Amino acid sequence: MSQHTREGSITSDHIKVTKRHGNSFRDKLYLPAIYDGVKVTFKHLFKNLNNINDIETLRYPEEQPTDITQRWRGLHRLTHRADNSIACVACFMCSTACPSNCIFIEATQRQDGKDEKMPASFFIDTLECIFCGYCVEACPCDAIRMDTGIFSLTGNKREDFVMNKEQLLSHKGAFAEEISCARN
Amino acid sequence: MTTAAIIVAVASFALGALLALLTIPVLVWLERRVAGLVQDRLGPNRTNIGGFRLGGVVQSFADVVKLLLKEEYYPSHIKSGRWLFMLAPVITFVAALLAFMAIPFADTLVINGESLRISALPINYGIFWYMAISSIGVLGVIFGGWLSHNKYSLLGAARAGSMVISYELPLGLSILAFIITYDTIDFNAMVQFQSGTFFGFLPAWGILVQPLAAIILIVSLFAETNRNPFTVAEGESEIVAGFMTEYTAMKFAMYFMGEYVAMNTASAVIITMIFGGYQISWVSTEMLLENFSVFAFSLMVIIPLIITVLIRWMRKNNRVRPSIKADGGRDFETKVLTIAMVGMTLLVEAILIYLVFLSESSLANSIAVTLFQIVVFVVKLMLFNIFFILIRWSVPRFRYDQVQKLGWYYLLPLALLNIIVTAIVVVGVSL
Amino acid sequence: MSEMIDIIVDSQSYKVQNGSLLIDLLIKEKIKVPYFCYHESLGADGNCRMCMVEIEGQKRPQIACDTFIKPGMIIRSKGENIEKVRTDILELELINHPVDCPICDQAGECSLQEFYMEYGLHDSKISISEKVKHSKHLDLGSNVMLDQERCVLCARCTRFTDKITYTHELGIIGRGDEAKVTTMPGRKLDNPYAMNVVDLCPVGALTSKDFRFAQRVWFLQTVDSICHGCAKGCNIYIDHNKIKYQDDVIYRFRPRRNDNVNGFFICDAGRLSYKQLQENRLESAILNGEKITQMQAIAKAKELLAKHKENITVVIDANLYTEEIEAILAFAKELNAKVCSPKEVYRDESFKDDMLRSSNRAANYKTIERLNIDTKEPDSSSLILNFNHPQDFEATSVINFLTHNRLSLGLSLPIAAYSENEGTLTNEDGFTQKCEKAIFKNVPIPTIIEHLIRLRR
Repeated sequence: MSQHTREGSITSDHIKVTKRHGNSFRDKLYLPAIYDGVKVTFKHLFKNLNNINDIETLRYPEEQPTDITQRWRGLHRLTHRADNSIACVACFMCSTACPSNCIFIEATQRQDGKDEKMPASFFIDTLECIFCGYCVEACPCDAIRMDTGIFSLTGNKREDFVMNKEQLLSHKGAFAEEISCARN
Repeated sequence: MTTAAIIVAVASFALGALLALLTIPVLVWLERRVAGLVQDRLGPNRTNIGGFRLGGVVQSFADVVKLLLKEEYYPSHIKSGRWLFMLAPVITFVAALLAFMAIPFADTLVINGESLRISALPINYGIFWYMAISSIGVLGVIFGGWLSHNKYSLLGAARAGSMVISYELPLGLSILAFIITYDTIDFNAMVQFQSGTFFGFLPAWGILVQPLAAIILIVSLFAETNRNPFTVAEGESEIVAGFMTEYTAMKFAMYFMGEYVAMNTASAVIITMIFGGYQISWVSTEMLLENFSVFAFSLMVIIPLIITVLIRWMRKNNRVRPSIKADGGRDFETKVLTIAMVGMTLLVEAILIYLVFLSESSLANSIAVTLFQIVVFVVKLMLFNIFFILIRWSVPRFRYDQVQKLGWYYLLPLALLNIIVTAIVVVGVSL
Repeated sequence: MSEMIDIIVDSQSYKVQNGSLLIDLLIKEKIKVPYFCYHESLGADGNCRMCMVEIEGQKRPQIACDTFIKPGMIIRSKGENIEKVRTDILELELINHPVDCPICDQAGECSLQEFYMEYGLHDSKISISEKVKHSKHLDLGSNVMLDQERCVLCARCTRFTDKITYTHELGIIGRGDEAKVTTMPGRKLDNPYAMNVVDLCPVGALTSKDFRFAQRVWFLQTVDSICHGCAKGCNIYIDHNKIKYQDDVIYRFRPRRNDNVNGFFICDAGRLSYKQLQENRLESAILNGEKITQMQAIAKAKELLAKHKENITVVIDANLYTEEIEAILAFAKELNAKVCSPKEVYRDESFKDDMLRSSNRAANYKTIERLNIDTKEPDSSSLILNFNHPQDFEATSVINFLTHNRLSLGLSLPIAAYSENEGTLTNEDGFTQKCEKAIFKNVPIPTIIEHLIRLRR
């Protein structure tokens, strides 16, 4: 009964009938469709065969990418304050936010009197890192950034990919902002 | 047996083995580069030996080295049938390889009144040989999948087994139609039949004489080689890698190479049966021998033209973009290859001139024609291999049930119908 | 006072004792009300003004911690009005707060943070160029660090030293924004319960020097347990964490409320006893000073048991769980062994005080007594099985089951410490309480019961 009333309330202009493909003789024959497909692939093959250098693939080691912007997430770095001391206060926000749990921090008492807390060690396992940028978002001190523009990370053994505090501090930002923008 | 017969037999066998085996790396490379170009990418083009990259074909040899040096991993859960597990890829590979051996690469060479077949196996029942041997290939797939003791492998094996029964029948029936038409089971005789004409002007190629059987043959052979759109046994999007899931290193490479040999064999069968084999259309071997000087002159014109086009293409494309400084030895490679090509052309021209003007020997002429036919065969083979590859990158994979439906519901009735029509026509014509 | 009356809070009726504190009802019924200064053990002080509720018939909102329940009261703890009052008070609290949560150990369990997220979320209307500066890290002694800037002057800590320990070390000096908690010049916070002020402090003003920067609290997992420091059986939380690729580690003990046993507090000795628990653990079996595998050790122990069948004594530590003691007794019965648990070693009169510390330093001593286990020194016997008893014994052969490394001859097998096992303890007042398993080590050390099963095989 209810179904009946529902049908009654819908008029034919409300129903959009999508025509199903594949029922015509031409479609069922399948060969014309294959012919169309092969035509497209042939077209691309001959176009590219005729002038291989027109293919837009980046010839990587010789050609370097030119489209790395400030928002692009490269290798991490730890920023400095204006007085060249480490900006990180070891609050663990980044390692809390990290979805792959690849940030390992050990906190210690800060000795230079600038603040109370600083990282004794700060490791990022870049093999586990998924470069999501959550650590950058989470950082309250603008101490961790991914604006180095470094996209190629190579090493001979696994340990080479675990970045320690000194390595992270030594990475330079590829863009204008060099020091931490947080309250110094 | 005369010395000449032995030499020809050995040479043909060597040629068959070379054509089957040496094409594997080339086909692997071709597959990857054609796929790249079709998809507006480059494909492998970096690997080189001393700056010679030959368009990247060296990559395939590097791959072979890699596969040979890989750890020979053997799944520990496979307790029974270890030897068959190891043997399975070999069966697939060898079956595809042996099936290729019955293909004629050129017309029968007549030396001192003795007809010598230019095929690895000088047999006159080639099509039966092919059907018998190539069907064994699927056994390797079934054994491998079954003995892997892995559900994905088993599913792949089951799929391969059920696919075999859906395409083998239409394949056999379509071949039967060709046998009725050509009135022979000898590949060489089939090619000779196709060098004739049809309705006075059409070349009597199988595809024109028997279009329906030709299409069924091509489709069935695609299925037989496990190539797209019939990769259901491998089914990497559904069942990991199907029957190959547990295979690594050279065991895997055997399956991998077997696929390319099978593809090469299928191409050879298709061109032999429906694209005129080693012949160029309208021209039979006798015509070539009778009008040898005309043939040689036209070759003398055509070869430099082709080489010129090739060199121009190479000079245009074998270089880096203007924005890149380092050229990686491409200029040098182009130079060397140009010199080599020009040198070869000059050599061929010289031989042709010698044959036409200085030599009186008809044997030399027929050997030249044989070599020419071999070249035609290889060119056709490669073109059809490229067609195989293009189909792979154009057509999506059939669903497992669709393959069976296609085989049983469409191809089999059509093939049967085709046989009946063919039989009626053939009997009617001969009356 | 004992008369039960009905009152209405947020249009729901509750039965309460006439004249009791309103805030107790709100806390008991889990009705959300923010408060800093009130604490059930310290009573009302009424200085933080956060626990404002609306009472029908009263002009202004009233603080719940100083309102005694009268018949017919109608109270609202929610509503736009009351929330605005709370927001405004919170804003005043935050004028001089340094907002250094990233470096504050309290972050994550800080009342100020929680209330700001719940009632605050305001933009400050007050613009001051410089916040008032105080000492940021003042070592008060007894492992307590003071950050005067973070303090909300709730006076819980001073009331604790005044009302609970009667030591009066802490006080608030100064007025207005110069008011701060401090000790007398030259004096330190010094009493055996001093670290409880860290738990009492609702914000990050008083933090533990021991736990300082060790872990962020949101990483810690909390498990209910019982302190093994003495026979009092104080209820504790074990806060532990297993950092990726490392072993499970205890970071601190916190008191757990149990009005029958320890109330809200534990002593500092018990609080810091997690260190001894983790240090110097025996992790592999040792035979005469050389490491051997567990299987070898079990085989050797079986051999010794067979060799000295006649004259075996089993010594049981009074800190073991009841279940373990009973299992050992059953095993001893099978061996026809004498059982004893020398008690002298557990007596420590200097440890005793009249609050929570007991002179008996064995957590499960009541069970030893209940099971009539001999508490004298063992007689001379050819084989002694020592189940973690702190004393060393002379015998022809000794098999030790030890949690910690100890210089002892003979065969030593490692056993799980109480944090790596679960069981029950009976304290000196006869309360039987359960300890949960807290620590899951990467390489688990077998428990006594597992050892006994292997020895029987």
